[in-house]
Amino acid sequence: MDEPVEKPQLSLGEKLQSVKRNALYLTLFCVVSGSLILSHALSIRVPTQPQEYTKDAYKLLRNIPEGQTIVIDTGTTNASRGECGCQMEAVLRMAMREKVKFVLYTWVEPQCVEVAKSIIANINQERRTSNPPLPEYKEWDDYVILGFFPDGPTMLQSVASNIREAWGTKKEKDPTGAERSVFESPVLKQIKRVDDLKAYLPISPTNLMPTVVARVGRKVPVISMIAGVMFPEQFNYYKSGQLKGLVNGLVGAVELEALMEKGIDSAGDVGGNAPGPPIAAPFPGAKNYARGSDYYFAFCCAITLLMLTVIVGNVGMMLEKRRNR
Amino acid sequence: MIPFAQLTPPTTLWSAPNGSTLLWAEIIIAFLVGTAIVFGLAFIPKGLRRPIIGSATFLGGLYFMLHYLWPTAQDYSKDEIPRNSVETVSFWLQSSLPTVTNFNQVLTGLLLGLGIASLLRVHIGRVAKKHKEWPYSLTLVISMVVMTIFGYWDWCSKIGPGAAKAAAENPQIFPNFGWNFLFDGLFVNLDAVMYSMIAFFIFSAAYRSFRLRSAESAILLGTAVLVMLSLMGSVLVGWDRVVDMMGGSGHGSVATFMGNFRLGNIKDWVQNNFQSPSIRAIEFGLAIGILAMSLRLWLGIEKGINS
Repeated sequence: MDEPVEKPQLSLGEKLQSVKRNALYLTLFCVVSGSLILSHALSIRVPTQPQEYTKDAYKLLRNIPEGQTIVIDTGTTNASRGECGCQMEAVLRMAMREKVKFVLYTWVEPQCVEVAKSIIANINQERRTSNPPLPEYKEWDDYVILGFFPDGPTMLQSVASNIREAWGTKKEKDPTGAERSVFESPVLKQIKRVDDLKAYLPISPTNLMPTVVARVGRKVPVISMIAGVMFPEQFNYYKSGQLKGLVNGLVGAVELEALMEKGIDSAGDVGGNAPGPPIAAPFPGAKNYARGSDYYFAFCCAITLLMLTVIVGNVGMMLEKRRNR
Repeated sequence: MIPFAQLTPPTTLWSAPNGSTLLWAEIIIAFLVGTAIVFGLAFIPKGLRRPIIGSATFLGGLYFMLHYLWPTAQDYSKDEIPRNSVETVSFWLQSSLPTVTNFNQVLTGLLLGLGIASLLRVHIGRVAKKHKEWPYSLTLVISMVVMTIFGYWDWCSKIGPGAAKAAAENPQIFPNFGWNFLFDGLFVNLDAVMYSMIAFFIFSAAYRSFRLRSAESAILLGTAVLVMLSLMGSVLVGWDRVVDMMGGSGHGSVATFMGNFRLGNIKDWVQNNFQSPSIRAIEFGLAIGILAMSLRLWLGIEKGINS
């Protein structure tokens, strides 16, 4: 009979370098879930310092006159609800409070429109149950949904050339249930050319920017809302002035929520009290801190844990090196 | 100002009322003709396939190339009469764009349909032949069919005056409940779960690979830590408060010097001087590559990976 093989004793350095994958996964799961529950239960608000590109986005969005129309080009699915979902909620809350009308469509994935509809329904529910209750945002009167365009780049090329013809075949039901051209709706009635739109907002984890900027970027201000992983690529478009604002993933969504709460005063300070009309007013008393802020604490905990594990691995490597010398 | 009536799209063959028999007949005829063309292409002699596809690609590319390069008519209206051949081409390019766009939407939609047909063919074949892991294929086929049925049923139930509102007020209506359960209850959450799994892999990979083995890795790790710290609002605010306490606030040379050590400024410096230029260089390289590849495809020089 074979003698039982004795397992070699691992040194501390080796142990620190070889933490099992399952243990790492479990730690991450516990930390993220725990911090998410804590953040929600205790309404933990992590402070933020809005960046210039987020402030630019807020300034532009906050100063769109009532009744004007913007475009929301969504690529948001629930895969990116932690980033683009939060951004979409913030934008929709702002648009509804400012009574800005919007056109919504996608050329990324057909499901994006369904996801956006759910977000709109949730915010409408929030408005109905608020104190005092706010009027619902209604399809046709306040927004129109153009659906899914399988070939986005060509559609955008056509929009830049003649928006009336590009979306001319799109129909929506009016409040009586009759199908009419979207250009008869209050949302698009005044839109003759793409230049009449006040902003174009791609909210997507995918990189739509080269297509959007090349086709409509010179005619309408574009504000990009993206997942954090795409930020470095998109930052170049902001630096070159092709983007008028940029919202960077979850951090950007939280910054947007903070700006909605605090506003930008006449001196350009967030939450300041400088005399004179503010550059971008806040929304006092409204629900500004929302899903983004709820997720942010968990995000910070996850990053801290990531850095700790990297430190643990490196300490282990150094101990092992010293032992082998 | 142009009267609104002129701006509404003209009535075309395809503008029959939604759900009408005429529109259904047109859709079915178009579908049959489209399918016949697609399958017809499969019976073309091999020698003719390449010239046909090459010609279609060249013409498509030429149209969009001209759209970018040909002088564009400013504030073009359909009533205008071209004064010369340049304007004739320009007006034609502008007036035909919506038609080309619609054609492209339909063609891309057809490609999606082809993809679905191909997926079904492969997976139904696997189920029929009891291929290894056939239950996964069966799950895919069932999910696809059930989702299509409920999606379409839900859509049909919301047609008509007040139907959408009634469905929203009473979510227990069977097709709406079924669709909500399948889409919002299952699909959406599975989608979120799939994506969130990446976090676990990134976490594990970072632990194993971020090691200070050389000067280069130290620079990379240091930069990564700085950028990660700058993403944490509390650290960013706290760090900058410490810098302010050390003389970073206010004006003057000390404040200006200390201001360099604000975390946000360090991150901006890394972002502006290293990250953005390097990504810009990569993007330029990629763009040149894409341009070269597009030209090869457009002119029919590209032979494909197999040849």
